[in-house]
Amino acid sequence: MLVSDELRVGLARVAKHVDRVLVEDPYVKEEFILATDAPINVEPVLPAHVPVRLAECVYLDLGTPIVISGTTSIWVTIPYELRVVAGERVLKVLTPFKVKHTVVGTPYEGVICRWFKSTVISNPNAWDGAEGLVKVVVRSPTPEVVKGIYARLSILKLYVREGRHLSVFYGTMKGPVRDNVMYVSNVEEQPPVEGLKEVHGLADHNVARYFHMEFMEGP
Amino acid sequence: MFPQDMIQKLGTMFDALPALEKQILLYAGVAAAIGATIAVAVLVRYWLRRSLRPKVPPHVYVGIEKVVVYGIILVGVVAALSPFGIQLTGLLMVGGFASIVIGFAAQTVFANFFSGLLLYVERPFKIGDPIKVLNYVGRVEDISIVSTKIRTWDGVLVRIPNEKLMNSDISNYSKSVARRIDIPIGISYKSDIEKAREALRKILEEHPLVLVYPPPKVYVVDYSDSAIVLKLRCWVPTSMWFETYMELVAKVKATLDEAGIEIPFPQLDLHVKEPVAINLLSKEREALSDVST
Repeated sequence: MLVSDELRVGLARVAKHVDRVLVEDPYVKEEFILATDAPINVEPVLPAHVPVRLAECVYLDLGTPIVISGTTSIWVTIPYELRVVAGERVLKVLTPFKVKHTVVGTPYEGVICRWFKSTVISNPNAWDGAEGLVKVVVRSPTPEVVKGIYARLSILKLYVREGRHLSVFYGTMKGPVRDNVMYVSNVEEQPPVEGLKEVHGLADHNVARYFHMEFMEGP
Repeated sequence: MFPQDMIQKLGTMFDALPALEKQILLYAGVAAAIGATIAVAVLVRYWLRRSLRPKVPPHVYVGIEKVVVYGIILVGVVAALSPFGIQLTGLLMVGGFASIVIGFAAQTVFANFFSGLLLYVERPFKIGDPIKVLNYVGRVEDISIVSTKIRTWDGVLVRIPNEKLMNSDISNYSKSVARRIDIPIGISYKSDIEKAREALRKILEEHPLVLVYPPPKVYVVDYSDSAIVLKLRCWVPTSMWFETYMELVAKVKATLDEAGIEIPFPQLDLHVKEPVAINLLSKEREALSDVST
């Protein structure tokens, strides 16, 4: 999405003035001087960069558990991040939402996931929130209680519909339920609704805002 | 025909041969034995490369291969040369004695070598892991057969002999995906504990790297002499432990100040049972009289 003057998506803000661009989210505020005519674009990317790249998966906490049986389809909200690009150069990755992480499994042998408090949406066509949407197809031969959805970031597909607002969708997720968690095992190839454009999921440069331990800091 | 009979018959035939042919046959036999030894060594090397090389680091494998292959060749050649009067037992005795002498002289080297091998088998850490050992904390930069090099967080390269390492407690910080942070903080006895806990809980909830699960906690840990001690306990991704710890410690003071919670310094209330006479110095007496007038 082209930024002409100011764009606000959730808690993220990109403001372009004559020769400057200001990028802002709950964790960063930075200004760039534009010594180029390159257009400033904002594109959704997977929620994996802010504040630092360490999550391998996303865990959607449904808050209110859902009881399902057989094959059930639901629409839920899901986070994404925004890549701010000048021409082809990534300036920053912003988050429109507050960021939290969690461990799925044990702290010793589990996996670090991006955590998000998700809500179930009854009518995706009427949705005008900043969050992205994903259709989830849950399979279970017996009645099950689903409290969360776990998905590896590497298998997710991201789509965007640019209009007056930025609408972000993910490819339809499918998978079984185990221990009250739906584990996404595959994602449909085709977009969940018509008129969507697939976008590349990861930002192409290091946007870490923290120094890693390689920088001589440690426990 | 039994093998013994056959060997005996061959021996008789050999003895019956003329001296020149006997000599030629002897040389041919020695050459064949040496050839067979080399063939066995090559086969063993092939087997080692297939079975052992994928499992051990390259520099360790090279040493093992050389010892095994050259050992086979040495023993085979000496055994093959026995018809010329070179006895394997004598050589082994000399070799054994030399081994004892060298063993005593190079005891530390061998101890480090075998400790290095055990480290490879046990694998308590790998190159790149952040570890704590013998009061050194840093990242493992190299593991060789006799020593391990650690780059401490202040940039110093420390070489630790493997024997010392093997006999020490080793903490490996990268063996868990998440690591706990504990921050104790004292608040004054006048402060509202619940208000302080709420303010501190908010810091943990707001921080993007404090994990939702295992859930963070803020609780009273002690009623000490000068303060009620609270503890912030949370889990963070191991790779971001230090950065998160620094940020949380800094935020605690600011947040408590903002909430009007006092962080007290050690203080002592003195209660005197009997009235005590106080002698004022002349200057202080004058000052007091000025105030009263």
